[in-house]
Amino acid sequence: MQSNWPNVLRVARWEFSKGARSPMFLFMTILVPAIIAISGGAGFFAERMQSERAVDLAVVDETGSFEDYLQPAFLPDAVRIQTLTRQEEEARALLDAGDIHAYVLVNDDGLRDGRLPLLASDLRRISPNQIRDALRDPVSVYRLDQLGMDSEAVMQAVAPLSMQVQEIRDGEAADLSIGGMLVPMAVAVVLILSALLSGQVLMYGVIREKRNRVVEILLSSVSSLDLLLGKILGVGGLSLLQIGLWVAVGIAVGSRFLALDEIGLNAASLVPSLLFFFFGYFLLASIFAALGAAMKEAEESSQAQGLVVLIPVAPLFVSGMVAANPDALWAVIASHIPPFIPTMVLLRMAVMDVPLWEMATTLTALILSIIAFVYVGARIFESGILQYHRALGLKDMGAVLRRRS
Amino acid sequence: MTHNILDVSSVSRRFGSTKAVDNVSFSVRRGEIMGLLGPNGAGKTTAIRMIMGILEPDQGTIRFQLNGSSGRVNKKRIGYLPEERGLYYEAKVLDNLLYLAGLKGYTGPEAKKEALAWLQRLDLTDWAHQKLEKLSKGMQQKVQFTAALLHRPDLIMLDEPFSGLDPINQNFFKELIQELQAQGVTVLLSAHQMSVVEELCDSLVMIHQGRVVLSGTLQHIKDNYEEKLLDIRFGDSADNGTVDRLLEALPGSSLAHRQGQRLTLRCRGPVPAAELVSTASRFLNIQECAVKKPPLHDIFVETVKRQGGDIDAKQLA
Repeated sequence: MQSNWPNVLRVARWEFSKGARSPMFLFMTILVPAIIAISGGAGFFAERMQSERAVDLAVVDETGSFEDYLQPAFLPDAVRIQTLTRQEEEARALLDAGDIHAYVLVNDDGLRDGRLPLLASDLRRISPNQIRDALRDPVSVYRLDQLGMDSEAVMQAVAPLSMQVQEIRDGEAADLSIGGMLVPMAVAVVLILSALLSGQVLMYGVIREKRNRVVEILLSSVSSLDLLLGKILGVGGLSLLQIGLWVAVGIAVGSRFLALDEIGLNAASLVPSLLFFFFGYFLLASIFAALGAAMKEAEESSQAQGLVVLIPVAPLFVSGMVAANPDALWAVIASHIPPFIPTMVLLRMAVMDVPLWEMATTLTALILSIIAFVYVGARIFESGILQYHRALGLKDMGAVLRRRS
Repeated sequence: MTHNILDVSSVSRRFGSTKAVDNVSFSVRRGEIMGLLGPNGAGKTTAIRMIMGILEPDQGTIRFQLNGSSGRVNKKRIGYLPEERGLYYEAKVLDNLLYLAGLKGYTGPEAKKEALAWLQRLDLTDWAHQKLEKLSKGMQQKVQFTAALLHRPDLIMLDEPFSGLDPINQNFFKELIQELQAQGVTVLLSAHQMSVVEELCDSLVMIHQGRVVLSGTLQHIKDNYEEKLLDIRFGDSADNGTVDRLLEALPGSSLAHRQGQRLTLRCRGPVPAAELVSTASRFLNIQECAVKKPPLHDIFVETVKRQGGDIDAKQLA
């Protein structure tokens, strides 16, 4: 089997432009970024609005001594204590007049049990957690003093612990590259997503052409291999464009919250991941197209499609084991088994620097397996595509592969 | 240089335990219209798909003589109308035509001009930028036909071109095929409607159960078929005894059909036509008389039966 590349590209162009004009593609291409932008934007504004929303609070101090601990240094800006009183009636009057949003009753029992009553005119206007967080330190210091302990020393002793992680690269300490972990994981997810989306489009497209009988006309002009390659390239290109748009919108929205260069996200970290993505996509697409050719109806293909999707997903089931021991022998072997190569390598890249020799061998194995899968896919495609009235069984596929070309 | 544009030699193809095409050989001469005939399931479509390079034969060779060189199929120089019609119904008419012509290597403004000229000729100009699904079935057939010949092929293969067509469109396509032949295009068509093919074809290959049962020019096939039909309209009434005596006088003959004062006799053997008429005139007052070869349908059915085959004659129109 040899390819006629002008025809492959003609088929690819046709598939691309046909798909790009379909209402579903336009709808999905616009809708998903809109959802990303809206949800990202909404979260951003909600957070801002929440943080900027000040609460005017009154504290009814029945202990008579707690008020000393309510120093501004202890309290966040958003919680403003308007009034300190010993009379709940006074606080209630302020609440009814709308001068405060809530008041809290502080008494010995409440401080001991850790249960302070909070009363508000409109619970939707305040965040109990925000007020709880604001009062946590004053209450802790008050309790320690009541116990006769050095509150300053104790607060220092129980201060939360955090790790300042750094990597030693080329003999020098550098901040951990979150991007180095993030990119392969994100690419693995995108690979699965694109395999799902374009694989489905590809498979149903083949089934539809089979049903429309247009495929026989096409095969009178191009070989089954050219047709298969053209479809994979065309539909794949469309799918990559769509996902590229989604990712671009995602990055644009994400960059509002994250400094992408600080987490190590740069072009160099993308290259190895994208190589495995690109070839991994080809591998899965050839399987999907062959599957479409072997099927008779779209309905019966959905189960088979689920099985194919399991191929890139399967390594995710052992991702915990991969993360714990990424250079184990079994992980190295699984990284060379064709259907699992892309996801396995991407998972390992997320948690370790995969050795260069292994990158080379896995990539070679992936490319060789693509050639084999595209060849086998084309053979099944060739035989199945003209079987208008029946689906190919495993026995038929075996016979197809045994036939000499 | 050979006059053949296509040579099919000892080609076979099996699907599982079924031999769809069994040792089929024939040649197509440049510029002729050849008919590949046979009932449904005879193996015509499989043979055509192998010729088109869509299927590979298990054995045998298929050679083309195109552009002065001999070789395997050059898909760019061949047009194909498959039995199972199909185009992109959700795409526009002109886009369909240009895409398919492009796959044959026929692109650019010339292809577009040619496509528009064809659409004009087929009264489809107003539909050029409409989605194919909006066209009637007859219109879609015309577009499909155009797709097969837009790239100006040397050889066009039409698999059951008349199936599903109304009589007006049948006549239209018959004229079109004859016009293509006049322009030097070789046509290989498969059909099961013998009468239509008889009108159009210069030569025939008849297939039954994957094997060639008859082949040659229409004239050759008819001349070599020894049976004749004697059609008589007689003036007076004739009783059964008279007809029986006439049959006895013509050894090897049988009554094919009788209705009122018309009868048709099937006469075997190398008896000259004049002698048949002369003999018949001794028994009947002949008003009109014709001696002719049987239609292809009868020749085909009879040949299959003589070769020990089994055929449902109703499958052949």
